Amino acid sequence: MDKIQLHLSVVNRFGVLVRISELFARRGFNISSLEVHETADPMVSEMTIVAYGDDYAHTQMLRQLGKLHDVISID
Amino acid sequence: MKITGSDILVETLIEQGADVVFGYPGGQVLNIYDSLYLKSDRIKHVITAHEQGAAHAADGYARATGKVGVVIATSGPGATNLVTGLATAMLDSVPMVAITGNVPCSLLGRDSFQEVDIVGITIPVTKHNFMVTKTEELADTVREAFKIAKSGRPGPVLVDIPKNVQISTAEYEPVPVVAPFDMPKAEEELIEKAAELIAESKKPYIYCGGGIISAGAEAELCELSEKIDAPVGCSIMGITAIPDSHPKKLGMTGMHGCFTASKAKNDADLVITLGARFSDRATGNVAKFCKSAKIIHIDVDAAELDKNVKVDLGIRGDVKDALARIIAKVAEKKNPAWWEEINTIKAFEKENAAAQIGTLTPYQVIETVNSYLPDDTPVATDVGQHQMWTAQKYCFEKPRTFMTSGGLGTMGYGMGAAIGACIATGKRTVLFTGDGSFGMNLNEMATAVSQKLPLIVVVLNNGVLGMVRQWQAAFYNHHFSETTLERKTDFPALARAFGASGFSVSTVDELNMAMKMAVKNAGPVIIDCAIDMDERVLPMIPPGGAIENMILS
Ligand SMILES: Cc1ncc(C[n+]2csc(CCOP(=O)(O)OP(=O)(O)O)c2C)c(N)n1
Ligand SMILES: [Mg+2]
Repeated sequence: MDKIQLHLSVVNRFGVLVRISELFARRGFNISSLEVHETADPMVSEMTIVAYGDDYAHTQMLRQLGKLHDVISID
Repeated sequence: MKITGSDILVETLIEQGADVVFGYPGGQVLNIYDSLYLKSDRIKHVITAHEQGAAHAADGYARATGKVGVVIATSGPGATNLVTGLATAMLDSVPMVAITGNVPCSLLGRDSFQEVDIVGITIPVTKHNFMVTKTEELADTVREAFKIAKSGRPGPVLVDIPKNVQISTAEYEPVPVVAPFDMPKAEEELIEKAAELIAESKKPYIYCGGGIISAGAEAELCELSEKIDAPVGCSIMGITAIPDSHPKKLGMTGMHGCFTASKAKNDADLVITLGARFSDRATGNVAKFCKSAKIIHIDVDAAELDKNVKVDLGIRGDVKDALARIIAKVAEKKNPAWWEEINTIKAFEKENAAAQIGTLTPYQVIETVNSYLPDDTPVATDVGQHQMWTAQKYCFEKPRTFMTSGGLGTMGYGMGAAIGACIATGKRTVLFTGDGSFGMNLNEMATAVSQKLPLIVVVLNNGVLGMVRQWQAAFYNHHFSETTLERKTDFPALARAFGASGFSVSTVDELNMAMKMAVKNAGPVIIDCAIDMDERVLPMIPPGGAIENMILS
């Protein structure tokens, strides 16, 4: 199990956190830590998620998150 | 000009191409229904017996036409009744927009009458969802919902509209139908790699899913199979991607797939997977899946690549575009030795096919009904043995003629879906259902009657929850726990009670007689077909099994 760190930029709208945490729960991935920050742009928030998993989990996290409409970018 | 939110909603639906919407009124959508009333010359609303039926009807409308299906429901129970319909559409990638009313914003979060958090409830079963809190944002949100629903891999989108947003006014300017987001295009390097693998292959096999139909890539699929002389197998969602009469088509693969299609897939040296997602029902034991083959997987959804099956070449992109480019790159080839092998498997399958039992066998029912219907007939099913028999035996010749719940396996899907497909196409439609499934949503007979739909409901009546019973017989020591229905439903009388016609048949001759009348009937007909309760769906690969575990007879 490797440590996986994801940095997301997301739309600052109510319910975004639920969508993201629900996706992790539904796919059976556990979130170890999560931080959300404001950015200079009031429409955009930044998120840092730490989780543990193998390459498969990592790829799935990136690709499934990439499908969420409120996720602007991931790295 | 400023108009009310409910007028904006209905104008936007019309503007985005919705000619028919399905739904059910209630307290928090009264304004929307008032707008529908005033604009009924430009948009038709069909009231169903239950919101679930309306959701499945919107789904059937979408599958039959490729357009976005629209369903409207009130808050609370109206909205929760949509959940199964949304999940069904989600798992089969069907473009839909669901509109729900909700309590006014001032009452949200107070457990008000008929308030539920439908946005929260439907996050996992929609592609995306919205709550609109300002009338100014309503039109653009609805447009965005249509755009998301039909873009890339299609899916259902829900828009929740609190009542005050429907009542307040805002500016509205019509816009043209929104275009989908640009389809991702496959990388050239990967297309070249695919063409190389095809050139090297001696035993190529094309495995297609519903993605071919969503992408409108049926012609490209046929062209590739002809150019590289490859057999085509499909998932249940891909059945209408290529006509059953096409010489390259082997049929459905998977748990109840045809032996030749499954065995050839297993023996191929290259499996070209197009718009399919390797669900467990389709693959069986993934560790043993296509062991001797390299696998190419082309899908518009990157998350599907390497999700269930690790592939040798995953290509993200529009399958229609990718196929056209591959076709241009590959040289024509012939694989006579491979086809000889396949024909040997076919002959073996023919010799070992299980005989069905009873005076009226399930296959006889499907073939007889089929013989009365033109190729463009929309065919819906419910879920169970009758669904698999239909998938196996009905001769599908045209894309978008098969409405079946492949991913969620929703009993009760069929009536709504058949109604939606029938209204969307204006064509006589057939539903193959089971006595169990029909019991779940037969209330929609009322809708079929009031809409005067030429709908033929064929009940494959085995008196049991046949599919579950088959598993109980095979894996649970014949403990038929709660699968023998012992009902006394008189289906012709039931049909009459709804204002429809009905027949009970137990021989092929009787079925012929009933069908002769059914195809002339203006309204819905139920044909109750008595079949044997011990009939099984064969072949069968037991769950977690592989081709060598396939039970043929
Ligand atoms: C809503 C729902 N509940 C339960 C099931 C589980 N299930 C799958 S097939 C089946 C039996 C279906 O019986 P019937 O409609 O009579 O079809 P048959 O298999 O007899 O042809 C059941 C209960 C399901 N798929 N959907
Ligand atoms: Mg039954």
